[in-house]
Amino acid sequence: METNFCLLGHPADYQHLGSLLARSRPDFTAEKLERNRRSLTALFELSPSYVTDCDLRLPAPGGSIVHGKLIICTFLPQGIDSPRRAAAACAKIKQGCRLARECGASIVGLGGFTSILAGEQGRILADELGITVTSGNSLTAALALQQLDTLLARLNWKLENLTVALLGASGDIGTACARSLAQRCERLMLVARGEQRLSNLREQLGPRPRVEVHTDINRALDANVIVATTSASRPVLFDAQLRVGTVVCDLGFPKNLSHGLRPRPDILVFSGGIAHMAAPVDLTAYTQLPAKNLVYGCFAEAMVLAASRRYESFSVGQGCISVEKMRTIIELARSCGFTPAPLYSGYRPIGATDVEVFLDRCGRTTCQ
Amino acid sequence: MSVQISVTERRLQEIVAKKLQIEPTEVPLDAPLMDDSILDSMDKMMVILEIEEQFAPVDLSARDATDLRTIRELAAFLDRHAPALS
Repeated sequence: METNFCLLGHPADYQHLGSLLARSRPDFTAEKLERNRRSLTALFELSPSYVTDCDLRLPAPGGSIVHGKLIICTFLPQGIDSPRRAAAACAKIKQGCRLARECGASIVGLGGFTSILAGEQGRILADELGITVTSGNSLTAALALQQLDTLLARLNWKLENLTVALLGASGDIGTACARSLAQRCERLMLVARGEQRLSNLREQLGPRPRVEVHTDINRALDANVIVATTSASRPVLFDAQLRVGTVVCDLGFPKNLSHGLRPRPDILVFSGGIAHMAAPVDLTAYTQLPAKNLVYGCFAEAMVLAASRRYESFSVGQGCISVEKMRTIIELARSCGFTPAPLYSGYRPIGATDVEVFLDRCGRTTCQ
Repeated sequence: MSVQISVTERRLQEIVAKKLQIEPTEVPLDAPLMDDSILDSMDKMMVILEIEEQFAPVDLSARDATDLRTIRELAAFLDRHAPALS
């Protein structure tokens, strides 16, 4: 059977790895997994990247089926704490790409941290391997922004009256979001650790009156809406820090926002950059998404390109995603049955009651 | 007082500086390269990928690369393993 596309991924963290291990070894209880955390992590990181047994079948326009495989790169983002371990993770990703080539894939979708292969050096490597890669960042950003628009419409909030903080603004997805949001919101706060990169981005955005640059993440807490796109391996924000009435679109993998034990009905947090598939392809064990018909934008983009038989490196390089590019890919996605996903906070759909309670807590007319 | 910087150290500073969009001289030689305050996790991996590309066939995932932390330490390692390039 021909393989049209491959998806490269990795577990988000040790809990995720544990859930994958428990699938094949039911005797791996939570307690056992916790007790053996160090040895299991070490064993996992010693293992080579591998092709999973997921047979991804996707209906394509015209009635044909395209086939795909999921490849797991055996590293955890939290383990990247030294040049040696970073190099080891890079090696796993290269290995994953070689496996994709061996599978006969015409395009590879780079999920999570594997998207480094869509950077400059990655492109060279992909050329060497003779394989087309796409980070999926264009579709991820486009989906997140449309999901945000959906929520704001439900709240009856107008973006042009809002302050939006963009965490990880100098990253590829962050830059794409900045290009769109700078044209639409009242005030945009670009937040990241590198001031120079942020200043350069602000210059690129042109003479916008209210685009600010901040390296202190706490400044983001002043915003009505936080769009979190950092590639941090651990949460950078905690829900307890957030002001009443804050909306958060979290695109992180692993997540950028950590939830405390106390529910916060006075804030609205949703997972952004997720697509709904008309024909489900079950990747939930690997994506940890709440339904079979949901998939991350980074994977969806490669699936859409494969279904359209457009085997091209749609999202590569850093900071190359334009508003037009996002428009193109989301339209192509729609033609293949991929639309912005309904809003979920973790595994829970955000329902009308959540919105009502939120509005009651923060004052209905705050941002209309 | 001027500080002596080797060719390899300078090249590493340039790689990191390009990622951070700053001047190479602003990249501290003795700061831990993997410190979250300097580079995020994705940037770290991209920098390492770039270093391996520029100093090929050096392998930073090798066991003897375990204790490398700073640019200075990395440079010394690269000088030992890819001396022809320095």
